[in-house]
Amino acid sequence: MKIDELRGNAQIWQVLEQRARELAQGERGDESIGGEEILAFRLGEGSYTLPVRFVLEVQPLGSYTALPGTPSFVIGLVNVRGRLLAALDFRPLLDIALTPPPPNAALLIVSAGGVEVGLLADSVLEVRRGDTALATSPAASAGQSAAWVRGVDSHLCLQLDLPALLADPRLVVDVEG
Amino acid sequence: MLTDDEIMAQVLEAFHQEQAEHRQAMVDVLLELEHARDNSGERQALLDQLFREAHSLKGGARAAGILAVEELAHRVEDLFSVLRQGELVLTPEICDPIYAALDAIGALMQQVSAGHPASLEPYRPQLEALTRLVRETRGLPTPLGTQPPMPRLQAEVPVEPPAPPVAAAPAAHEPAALPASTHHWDPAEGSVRLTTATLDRLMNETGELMTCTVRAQQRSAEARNLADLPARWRRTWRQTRPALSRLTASVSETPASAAAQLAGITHAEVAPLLHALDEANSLIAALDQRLALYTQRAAEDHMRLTAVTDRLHDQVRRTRMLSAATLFNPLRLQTRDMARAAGKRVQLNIDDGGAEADRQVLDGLRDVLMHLLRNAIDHGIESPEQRVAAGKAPEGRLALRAAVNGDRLLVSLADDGAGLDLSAIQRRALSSGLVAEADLERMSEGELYELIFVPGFSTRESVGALSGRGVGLDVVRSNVERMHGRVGVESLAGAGCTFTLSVPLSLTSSHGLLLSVAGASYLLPIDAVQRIVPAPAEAICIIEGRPTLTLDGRPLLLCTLADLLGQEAQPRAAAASGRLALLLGNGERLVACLVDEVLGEQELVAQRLPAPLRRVRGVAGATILADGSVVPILDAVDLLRAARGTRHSLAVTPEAEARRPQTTVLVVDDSITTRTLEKNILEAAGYRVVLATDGTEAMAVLNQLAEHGGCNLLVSDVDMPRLNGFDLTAQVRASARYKHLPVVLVTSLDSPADRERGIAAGADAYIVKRHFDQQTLLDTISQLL
Repeated sequence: MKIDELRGNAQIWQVLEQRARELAQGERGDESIGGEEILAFRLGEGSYTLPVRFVLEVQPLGSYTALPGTPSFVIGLVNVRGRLLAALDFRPLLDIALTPPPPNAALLIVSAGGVEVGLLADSVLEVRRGDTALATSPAASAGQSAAWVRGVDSHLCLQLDLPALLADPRLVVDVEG
Repeated sequence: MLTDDEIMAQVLEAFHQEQAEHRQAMVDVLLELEHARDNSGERQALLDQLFREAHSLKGGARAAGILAVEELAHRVEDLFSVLRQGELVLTPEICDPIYAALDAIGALMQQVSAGHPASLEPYRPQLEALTRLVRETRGLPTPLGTQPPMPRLQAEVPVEPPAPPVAAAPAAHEPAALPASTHHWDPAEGSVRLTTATLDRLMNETGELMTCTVRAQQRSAEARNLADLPARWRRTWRQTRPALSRLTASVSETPASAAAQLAGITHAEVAPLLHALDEANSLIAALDQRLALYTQRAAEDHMRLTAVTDRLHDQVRRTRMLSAATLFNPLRLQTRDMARAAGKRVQLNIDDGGAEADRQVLDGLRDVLMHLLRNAIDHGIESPEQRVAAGKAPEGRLALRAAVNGDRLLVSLADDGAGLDLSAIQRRALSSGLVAEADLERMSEGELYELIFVPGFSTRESVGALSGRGVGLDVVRSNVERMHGRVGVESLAGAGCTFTLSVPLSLTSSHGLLLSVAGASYLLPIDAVQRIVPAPAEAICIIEGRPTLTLDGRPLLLCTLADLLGQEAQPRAAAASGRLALLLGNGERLVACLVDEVLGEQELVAQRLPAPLRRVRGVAGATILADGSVVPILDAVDLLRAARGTRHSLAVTPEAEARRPQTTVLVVDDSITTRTLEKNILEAAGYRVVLATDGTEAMAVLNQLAEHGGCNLLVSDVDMPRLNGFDLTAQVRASARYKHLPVVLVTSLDSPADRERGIAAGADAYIVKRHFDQQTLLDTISQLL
């Protein structure tokens, strides 16, 4: 699309002007704090939650293709309706030992910051409103937690900051040939 | 109704593309002006075009709300305004800050696309350089270190109507008509802009459609196979029909037939049974007919689907094609910069030959060409003085050409420099130990040139010796091979050298071999496989501790695919006999790679690995097969690299060993652990091993062995009861029979005195256990035998 064309479009101009006015009024309050809908799932010994709005779908793990020469957090590749996605298990990043996925394990297809991956879950527990107040996780108290663990909620689930998790540089597998 | 954010995203995206075109157009024109002879009419037209491009760039930046870019574009526009009014003459010195500003705009746009705010702060120097030029020309004082006030019409929201390209300009007098921009995008031409990500998605969807087509073919075949079932019924019916007819007749004749009474079935029940059979037959016949029709239609649909999918795939593939010019043109500026930096004069001639190739292919070639260009400018083209002395024009010439040959893109880069230095290549090959002197004499000129692509040939140290020619060319070759391409070089001393690249036009669709390794499937691009050969046990042996496959009298390094992929060797997979080996690589680098099974050949649509996977060793991508399963596509370049560094885990079968003369090694050690370890290592490497626990026993065993084939080598510990290693060595040397037996002392004693004592006793080698690794032992032994 050409700039000139956009400029010639009254509807677009209206929106641009609206935007300018709103910008002039300063920032709005952040509504995302607390009470957000979260999805709780079980993985190995632990329970975790992440905001529902990042979860595109939940499907059975089914068959996956392991990749040689990848770190342990890469379970393998999966075919999600013709698209190739990486299936990940974030536990190694938290220094938690891996357990083999149970036969009916689930894959949470999540997306944030332009990255879409499948996260392994042994089972999905529920979708509920998240707590607004969180306790510090034991690992964080010891100064050893990942930045994307927000804390522990009243159900003793670790609440995960998904965009931060997917942006964790440790996730990037880039072996120099 | 579009949301605010969506519209801004569209504006940004539109501007992102627009600014790139304006910048490229300005670079092209500037380069032309730098080289153009004085033709004032033409010059003026080009200067006018520059001004217009800068003006449009400024307007677009303002509309997109990127003030930093607007500001830079504004200064560039001012400078062009001064230039086209003839107040300033364009020289390379004036071009430099313009190029710098255009680069800064590119960098700012990268930041904006990545979602970061564009800050002008880091680019103040570029801004001030431009301002200074304009102000000095106009006789205004330049305030040092401060930014002159800018005439800002609109600061926040762009509400100014778009400036018509010809009218609004700060200059007082305007030419009546300006030449049309070569990069002007006209909506009337009926084209739309698409992001490359959209094309990638389309391509992936087409790939999925192709797998659907294969599934449809399977369904169609299954339907055809279903016709067997009614056919079987027809045969059964034909055979039982006469009996049934008789039964029907007898039932209608006699109210209670004998046959029916036998089964305890009444007459009233028999008639409906027979009727039901008849009914079943006519139903199956109808089913058969409909099934035949259905099968036919399924086959037709499949054919149609295949035809459409193939056409679609072809068209999507074409939409991803870009002209080679899009790769070549930006290189002109890079060439200019490199030449200026090297203090040389270079003219780059470009001929894209109308060639088009997949964007991914051109992307992959960019680094390769940059590398070759830098090499040519730094080391190929001589200095102007040297050139004149050699009777050449002071300005070096580079020619970059593209052509399409079948489904391959050919790119050549020729320079008219000094050419490759053959004697320097020979010296370098010898000193780096790549080639033996005897081989060097046999090698043809072409083979010698090939050496510059061998890893380990070109190192930083070799820069001086070789005039740096060939630095990092192994990287060039591996990059090209990763694209299933080839690179070659021709050279004529004193006249220059030409690199030629040949790569497939498209990387996305190719053929692969479907392999099975340790229960998992992999695809290996078929281009990477030279041959598939049987690997019978008798052709496999151990040479220098490494498994080797002898093929046509030539020993080839043998490894398993599982090893190369870094997988644990399965006990079953480790047995080498009776399997297939793939020959990978070429020439001197040929490697035989054992696989469990070759499942077949497969057309594949390669997909890149999904985020967060960028690059995985040994894996180039993945594809989705017709059954929906995901199969990794192997990277042959990585596999070859792994093969050269591999330690064998391949067990050679006893038959293989029996066929070659056995080398017997006597291992003497009082520790059972050490004895077992050394025995295992040596046996795995193909040696026959005999054991002794101390020196006295060793002497006895040696005497026994003398009557049973003899002993070829002695490996002994030093610290042992009864007779220690030093004394054993001395006794061996003293005896007439064994004085030539090679002796290797393996010990934990590591003092110079011990070492000297060992050598004085007559040991041929002295290995310290602390440094002990199996390859050291094997290498030492193979040197002594």
